[in-house]
Amino acid sequence: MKISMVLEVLFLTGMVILVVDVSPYFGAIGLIVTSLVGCFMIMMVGNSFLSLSLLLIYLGGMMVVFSYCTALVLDMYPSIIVKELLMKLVLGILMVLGLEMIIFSEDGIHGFKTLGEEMVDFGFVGAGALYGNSWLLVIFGAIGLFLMLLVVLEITRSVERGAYRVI
Amino acid sequence: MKLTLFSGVFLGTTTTMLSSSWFIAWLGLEINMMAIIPLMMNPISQRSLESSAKYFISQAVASSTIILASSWNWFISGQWIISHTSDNFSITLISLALLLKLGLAPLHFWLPEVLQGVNLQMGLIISTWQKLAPLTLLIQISSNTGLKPILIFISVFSVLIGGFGGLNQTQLRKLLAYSSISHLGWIVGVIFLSPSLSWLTTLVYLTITYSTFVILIELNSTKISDLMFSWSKTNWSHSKCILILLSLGGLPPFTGFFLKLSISNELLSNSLISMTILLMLGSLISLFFYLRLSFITSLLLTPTNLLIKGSWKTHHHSNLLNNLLFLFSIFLLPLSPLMLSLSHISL
Repeated sequence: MKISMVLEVLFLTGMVILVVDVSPYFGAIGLIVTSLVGCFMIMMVGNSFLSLSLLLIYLGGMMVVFSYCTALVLDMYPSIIVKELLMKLVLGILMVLGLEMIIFSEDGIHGFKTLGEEMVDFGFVGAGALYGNSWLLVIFGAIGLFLMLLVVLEITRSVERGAYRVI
Repeated sequence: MKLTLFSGVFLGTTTTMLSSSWFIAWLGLEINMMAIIPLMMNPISQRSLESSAKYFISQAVASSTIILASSWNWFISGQWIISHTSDNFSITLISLALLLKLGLAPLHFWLPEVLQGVNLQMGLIISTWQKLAPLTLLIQISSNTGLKPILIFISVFSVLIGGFGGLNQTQLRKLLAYSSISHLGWIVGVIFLSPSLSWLTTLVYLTITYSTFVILIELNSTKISDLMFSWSKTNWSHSKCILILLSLGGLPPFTGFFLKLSISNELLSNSLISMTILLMLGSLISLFFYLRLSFITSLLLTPTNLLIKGSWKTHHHSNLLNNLLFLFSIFLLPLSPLMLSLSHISL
């Protein structure tokens, strides 16, 4: 088993968990798993800075904000998936696993050597300059984003308020 | 929460005023706007939600236009520095966006409704503090000669609209909104001639507006009918009211006169005679409604029911800053040559 195949299966599993769950609490786990695996995949290509910044911003920023917001919204009746649908989805994952084993086998059909060959450089060093000389801009951006979170939470504060209601 | 939001308002304006790059200026404007929206929603009602939404929409349109035009300027000239903005299209679009942020005609339609929906304390902040950041940016880009016809047209139009719009108002906040439109028209009229005079006029005008709002907060009055019966209240702010209104209107013994005098002097020295005539005629119309307001407040003893007893326990929260700024907004006319020379304006 190559590690790339394991990574792809994990990625798919994360997406399935995200799609399957009706309530946002459990779907966030799928997002976490997916983004972690995605970061690892990017690191395998060789672009470690992108993976680090994706981890920081997506998991450390957006995910935290998302979970705080959903925690404040107070889902009344959180529900999870029905058992039959879960069985169908697990069956789907196994089918995809089998298909991958055929396509990506060493002496099978070639031509899909996607991971690990060329390093793709999209000029991400430009984003790295943000952490060098202009660190104050990053701090200001963080303050602005945090203020935006507080403002949005203040505006949509409770259920029974005028026009900007949440539920 | 209020402390955080007020510090966000302060942080946003300070960031914009201290920045030399369009990106940081836009960042400051956005922080300022987002922080003031929840503050405008006290006390929560349909009216205050509506006016905070209108404020958000107009300011967000202006901010996004600013970032669009400065990005276009970066595309053409390769840099973000405010004082080196060179592309004419960018300069026009940025100045129109800043004039929308200030609330000048013909982009003034949001200002009376927004000021009417908030309480007097937030109206004070919107009328005074929020004008500082866009005016700073406007002064920095005003040295381009392509802006001159736009600024002349907008300033004359603002003064006339501020005059005519305030004539039919009985709500004090809408009246002060039209007065703000008119005064900002005077301020923007001299930006391309003498930016330091424009800045000095802004500071003195903000002092006078601050004192007006403070007096109205003390009297707790939002309509003319509230002002009519203010003579029976124990804080004698109705006598302060007439002084500040006449200063706002620009009558000679008070500070407001020196604003209009110095601006008219500067305009006439540069042969913009018809513009000065139109500005003065517009101010004459707004002087009419200030006089009407001060007549009703202090020079007329309106009949009330005889059961009114003035309370002998005065809630005399006298604030040093408010009283000092009130004195500045009334009695500063003899010091006007000193203020002009301190701002390096030669008469």
